Amino acid sequence: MKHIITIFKHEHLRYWRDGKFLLVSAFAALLFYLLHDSPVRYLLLAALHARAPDITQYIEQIHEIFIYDYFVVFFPLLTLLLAYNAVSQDTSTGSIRFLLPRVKRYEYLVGKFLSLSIYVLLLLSVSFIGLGLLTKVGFINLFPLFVFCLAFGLVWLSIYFLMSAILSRPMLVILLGLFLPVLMLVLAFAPGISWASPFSMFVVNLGTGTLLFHSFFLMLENLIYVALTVAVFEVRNL
Amino acid sequence: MKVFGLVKSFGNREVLSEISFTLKEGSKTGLLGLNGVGKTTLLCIMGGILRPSKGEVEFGEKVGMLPQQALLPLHMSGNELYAYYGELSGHDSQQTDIIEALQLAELLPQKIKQLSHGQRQLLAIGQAFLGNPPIVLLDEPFNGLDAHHKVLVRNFIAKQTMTVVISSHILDEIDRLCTDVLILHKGKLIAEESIGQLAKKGSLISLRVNNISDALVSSIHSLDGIISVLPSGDTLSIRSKKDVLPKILAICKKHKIKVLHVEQGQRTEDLLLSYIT
Repeated sequence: MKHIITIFKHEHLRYWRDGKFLLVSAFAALLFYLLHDSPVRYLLLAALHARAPDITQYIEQIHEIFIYDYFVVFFPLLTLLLAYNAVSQDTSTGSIRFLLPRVKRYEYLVGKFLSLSIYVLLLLSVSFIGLGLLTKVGFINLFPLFVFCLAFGLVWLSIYFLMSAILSRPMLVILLGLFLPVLMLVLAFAPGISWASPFSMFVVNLGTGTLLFHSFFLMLENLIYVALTVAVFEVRNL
Repeated sequence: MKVFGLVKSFGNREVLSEISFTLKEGSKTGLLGLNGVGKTTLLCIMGGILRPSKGEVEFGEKVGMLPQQALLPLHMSGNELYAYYGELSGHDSQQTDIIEALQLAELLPQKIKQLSHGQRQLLAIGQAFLGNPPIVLLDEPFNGLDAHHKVLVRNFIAKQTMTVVISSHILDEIDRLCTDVLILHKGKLIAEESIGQLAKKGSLISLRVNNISDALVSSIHSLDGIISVLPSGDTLSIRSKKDVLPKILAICKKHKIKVLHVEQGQRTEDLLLSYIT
């Protein structure tokens, strides 16, 4: 237990010091802005739905959609940014070999996972404070959603963390990690694939084809942002 | 540290086969062998980085290790790294003895990514000794070090009282530092000896003469205890199980051959070669 706490403490500080948390936070804030009431969003939607007869009605749904977009579509990608190189970087550079003679493998993995979980909690807290202030919804009303999103975020973090532990190349984790939410989205909405319906809880639950297209567009848009942020991380590591 | 019946396979390829040995407390042991015989794999198993396919490694809780070709976390400073690894090794405050002996004081405040390869190697060597573990495993510790730092590291290791295992291709350093050697060949442990015992087991004579004839080579080869006689240019490399130099010189005299230079080596390098050929 002592080793787990030590690893948690130092790895957590390491992410803070190397600016990873700041970058992910900036990325989260940018998406938060773009997905909310920004002119950029309206322009994008207007361009996308130029053929839609009643754009005003659609815009009214934005606040509702935003919650799903940000926390359900975007948040998995955010956890990917946190976890993609958590273990795979240590494996590929060999720096894990300095730790394993001192600690057991599970202690290293648990400590490392906890150090990332705290960032998920922090990002979610800040995002929900922003959401509460912007939508003027009482924080107490947002609490169940907060708990759901935290559990959801930790599940995604676990998936990406495991991928990072199994695959020894950070870029491979990113590639598969980006592919995974898209695959789930496709599976969830693909007609006639009833067995895939459980996946639908992971993606935007919108009713119409137009909005499905919109959510898919947002997903792809987010992938580009994730790829750009990863590029920033990797360039900094050079 | 005791190692019993250690086997390590990667898929169908058996890298280590039935390795067993015991390290004497406080000894400095050189782990020798050609490239690819499993030295690094053995050290990784002893350090807990790899799991053996079969067999056991018996040792205390703490092991210090310098892994080969492993990058230290680049975003940390030396101070942060030593605080982190020191805490994991059960030593919360910085160990001034290591810092002074390896002259690390100037390196520690800097980010690791700003340090040169040799400076990183020094930091990596120092971290293996944090917390004074009873056993320290060093894989190629002299890689990338300049002459000054080689001497620093050699003196530092020589002063340590814990059990140290050193794997290195710089066999002169093994000669100077180690009391015992383990020789691996094709995944098997072929010798576990003290340096003194090993030296008694064979010698290599390098003989430069004015003329090498077939008669000379066959006469030397017929001597009792000779393992091999290899002519190369004007030099004969003779491996033998015992001291046969006086007899060889007598043969040269008998064949009226002038001996220009004689070198009788009992260096670890020669002994390693005599073992594996």
